[in-house]
Amino acid sequence: MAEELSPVDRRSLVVDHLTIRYYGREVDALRELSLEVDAGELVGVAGRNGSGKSTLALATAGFIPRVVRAKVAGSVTIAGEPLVDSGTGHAGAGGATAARRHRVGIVFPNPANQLSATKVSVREELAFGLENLGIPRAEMEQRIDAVLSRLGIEHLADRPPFALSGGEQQRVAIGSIVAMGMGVLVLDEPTAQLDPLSTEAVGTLLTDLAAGGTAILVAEHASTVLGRTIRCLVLDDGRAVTVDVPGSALGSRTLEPLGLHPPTVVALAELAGVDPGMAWDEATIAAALERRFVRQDGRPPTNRPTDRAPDRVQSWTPVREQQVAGVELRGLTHRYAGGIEALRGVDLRIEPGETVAIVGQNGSGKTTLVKHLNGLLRPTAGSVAIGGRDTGAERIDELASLVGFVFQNPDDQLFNRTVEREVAFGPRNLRLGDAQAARLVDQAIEAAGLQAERTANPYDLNVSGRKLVALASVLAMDPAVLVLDEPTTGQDGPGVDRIGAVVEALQQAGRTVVAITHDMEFAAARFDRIIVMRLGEIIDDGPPVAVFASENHDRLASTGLAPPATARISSRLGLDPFIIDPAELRSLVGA
Amino acid sequence: MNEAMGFFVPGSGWLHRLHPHPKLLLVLWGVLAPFLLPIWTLPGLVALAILAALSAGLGRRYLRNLAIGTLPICISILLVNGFFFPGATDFLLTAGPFNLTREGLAFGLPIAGRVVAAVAVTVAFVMSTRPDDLMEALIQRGTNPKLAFVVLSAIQTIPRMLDKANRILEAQQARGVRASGSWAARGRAILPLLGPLVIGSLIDVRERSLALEARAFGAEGIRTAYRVVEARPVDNTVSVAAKVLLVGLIVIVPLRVVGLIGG
Repeated sequence: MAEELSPVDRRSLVVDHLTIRYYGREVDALRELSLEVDAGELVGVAGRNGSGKSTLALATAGFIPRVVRAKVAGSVTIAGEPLVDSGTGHAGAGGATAARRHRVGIVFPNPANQLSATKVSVREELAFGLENLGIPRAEMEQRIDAVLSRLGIEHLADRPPFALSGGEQQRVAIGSIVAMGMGVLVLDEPTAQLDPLSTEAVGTLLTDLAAGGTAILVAEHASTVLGRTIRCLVLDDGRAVTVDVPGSALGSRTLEPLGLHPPTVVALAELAGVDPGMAWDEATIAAALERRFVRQDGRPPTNRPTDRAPDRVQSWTPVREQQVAGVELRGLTHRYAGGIEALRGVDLRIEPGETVAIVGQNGSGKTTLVKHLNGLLRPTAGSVAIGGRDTGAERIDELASLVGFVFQNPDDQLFNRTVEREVAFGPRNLRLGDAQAARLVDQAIEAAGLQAERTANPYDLNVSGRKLVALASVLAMDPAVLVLDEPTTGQDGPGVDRIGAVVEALQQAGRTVVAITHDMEFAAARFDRIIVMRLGEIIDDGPPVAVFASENHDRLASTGLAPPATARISSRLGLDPFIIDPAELRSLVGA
Repeated sequence: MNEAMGFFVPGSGWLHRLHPHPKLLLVLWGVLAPFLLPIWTLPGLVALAILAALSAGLGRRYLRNLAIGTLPICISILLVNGFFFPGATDFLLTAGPFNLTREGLAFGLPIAGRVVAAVAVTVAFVMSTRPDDLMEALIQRGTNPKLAFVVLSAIQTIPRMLDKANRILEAQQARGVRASGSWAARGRAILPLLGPLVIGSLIDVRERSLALEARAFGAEGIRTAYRVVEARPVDNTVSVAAKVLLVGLIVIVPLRVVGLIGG
């Protein structure tokens, strides 16, 4: 008889002195960790990559050691029933274990890999787990209708799951777990691959689910999600550093000793002296800042010292003899097979040595545009010139010596046994001399901060580490133009800083950098110029301070974007000239 | 083409309406018949398959898929047999050190014809059958649900792998790998293409297996079905007819062995 579960069966999660060590590893992934999540609570988990967030997610979902083998001490219980038997480190046997594990659901970072890939509508996809649980068809219909309504995705019900955006797929993935009647929901970086609009939607969804009584544990980097939690656990090397309201747990006092920066909004709340419980309330922060605001004749001071910590990468020394190169697109149109016009007569000129961030929601044409820079796509109409050279007829591998392209998914290019060999692959293809290649490999590995991993197998690193290997492997080709596709996805604070430092070092060396990014703070902090795209056209183009200015916020929203926190608060303060650098804002209030 | 739909093309022709189970039995017959029936039946079998597909509205896309599915292998069969048939003496054409022989072609043509006939019915089947309908139909007829899912997933791996291979090729070309031109250049591109394809697929398998587990794929107990594929009376009739045809094929084999049926 299939087990019947009530969709309103609410259970709480208790982690008690949990220690986990993977087989073959010499250090614990989690150490003596204790945590409770009650029904109706949304609890966050933050920390650097490799701090134990994913291990905690797998353990609390009952996947360790039953599916992912590891030595376990301590216990995880759902409503008092053990997911992992205390002391033995083994999951209980047979049906009892199955019954227990079906009360907790887990959502992973990659939306595409969570779908069954056999269903042709969202409604059927939501039914997949219910079929496996043996739920009668009539009840399936009820549950599916309830989930579609609760998640606000009724409009997706009859659409094919594979044709949805990443954000929509992730909401379907969450819905498929919720439909199974899980009282406890665990999410492992659910917004890692989503754009800001989708991240916000997932955050709202989790808040609503918790309000409906679900116990939720979410491991995240996104401050928009962590800010919605009731409390936040910060992990470091598998240990709990603190469990507190997010405004305190993610504050400078906790994070800076760990080498992490607090989210900008939290830093501004600290600056304004706002209670940590109100750290995500921008109106409160703005009001508090205004009270402390030191105006000179009603205007902000013109002297704006910045106090950004010095970056670890200070310079990039060009090794190949290359001319500096800019980019010129004239009337660039691209139409895919099937007639979809992804670019509509784009005119764009990027000067040599400029750093440009391209932003816009999924489907706005960003990736189509940059794929023309190295010949991955050919114009349907118009032209592309790099360094004054029309690239229309050039092969991709020929253009690789001029334009470096770092793809979003590092696993699409890594195949060598060691990081060093992987990084040397590009220079070898360019047939550079041994000495030149060796210098470039050394410099690229250092720029990406991979000295300690030089002889490691790239696949022994986590995804953020592999992304840095992919970056180094393209840097080692010393291109005149570097294109980065979502470089900060899945990176923690230090990883984002590392990539930002590489961008600035390349610019100092006269290289041109073009990046697609959903990370508005990264775009504002590290790039000279922001290009905003919508439906295959450029709708705004200028320095960050202009693009993110108050009068543009509606235009940004029209392509699914929100300005960075500093810009939003500057807007509330009515600052003129406008400020987007948190350090500048700090200097204004005399901090 | 996409993952869940595979090679299926939406339509309302009689092949689309036919229940997947009798259709599968007919395909089984259509794949076995070219290899078990006399050689003189081959043109008729090929014509029958193509006519069936066209009458069901599969159209030019069917003919294109059939050409893509058969031309490379048929050309290979004819070239290898035509030029390298052992002991052949009747030369039709000489190209340098190579001779095209009548014996080789006579041997290769029936093989190529059988391949075309078998592929012709298979292409008609995959273009007219929703993969999830096939899975549910098989489960309703007693196939283990997990086995049916695994088989379906394996079929759908093809478009997923093609898509992944394209992305990897782009990423490696962007690092200076030349994927066109000389055979040596193409050969050098194999490892950078295959390495990430294999490793990435293993990572995908791990992520997908965890996600399936999260969806209670390994749950004990009786599975229920959301999508029900109804069988009409005509489907049952076709099913019986297909079974009779399959039995007929099995009977023909010993008759051919003892020489009562030639060709």
